[in-house]
Amino acid sequence: MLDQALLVEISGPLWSGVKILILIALVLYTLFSGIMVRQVMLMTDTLEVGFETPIKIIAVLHLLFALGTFLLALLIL
Amino acid sequence: MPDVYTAPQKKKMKNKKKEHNELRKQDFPGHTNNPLAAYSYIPDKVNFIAADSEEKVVLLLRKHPITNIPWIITAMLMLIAPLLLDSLPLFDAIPLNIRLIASLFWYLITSAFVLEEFLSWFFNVYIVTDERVFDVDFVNLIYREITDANIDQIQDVTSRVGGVIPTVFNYGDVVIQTAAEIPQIEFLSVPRPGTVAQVLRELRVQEEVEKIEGRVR
Repeated sequence: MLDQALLVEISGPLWSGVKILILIALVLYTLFSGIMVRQVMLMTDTLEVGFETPIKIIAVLHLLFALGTFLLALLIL
Repeated sequence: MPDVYTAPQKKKMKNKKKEHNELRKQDFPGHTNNPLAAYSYIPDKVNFIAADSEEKVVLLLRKHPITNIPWIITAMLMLIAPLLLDSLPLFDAIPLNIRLIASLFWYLITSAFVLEEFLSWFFNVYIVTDERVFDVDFVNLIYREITDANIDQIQDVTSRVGGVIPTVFNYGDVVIQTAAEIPQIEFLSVPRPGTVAQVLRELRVQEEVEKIEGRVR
């Protein structure tokens, strides 16, 4: 699916508009993911019950997933 | 003549308190160190920002896990939604690369939803120590609220279980009326509300005894 997606050329004002909207949404989402990582740090400082490391890892993985999607969008859109 | 050295007497008092008053792990059920437990009686590894060094955590409570079922079902529907939508002929007109990124974006939103709901459940806790009760609330991404009241300020404790599911799974609300600035602290949907009220009652009695014996911290 990724190979096929790389071959698609986006043309026309409609799809160009959609592409810009998706990229803006992904930038905002990546910022949100960064805030979420900060929030998790703050939460784990507030309450320590011995499950802090897995939660921090999940939050960072989520941020990396968002960054990866943004970079992929830049590449294939 | 003024006292020159008073430390041993203090130590003695502390030991006395331990011997006579302190709640022990076998006094009530539910002792666990599982970090995901919704009811932990005297957990060993709990530390929180507002705690004093001498304060001992007696109860760590969260909403009953069964209260997570609605968002888990929503998350499952969100997970399968792109697969269902993909089969509709309407979406064939959309270029493949946009479909791919839109699907990934949807899964990102789904993961954020799951993460937020989990974090909300995990970190919105109610803590009872041997001195105070705490309600730790993370209202949204950037807003945190910690409410506390001293055990000796508690005036009335009410536990209520209403409805079929709460009765079956033994969870409900514990309402604590206090003489503190915040008149009421509510522990919502916590497991074993009856036992929680019982523990609070026991702690109040202990505080009363401490007051009478002049051992107030």
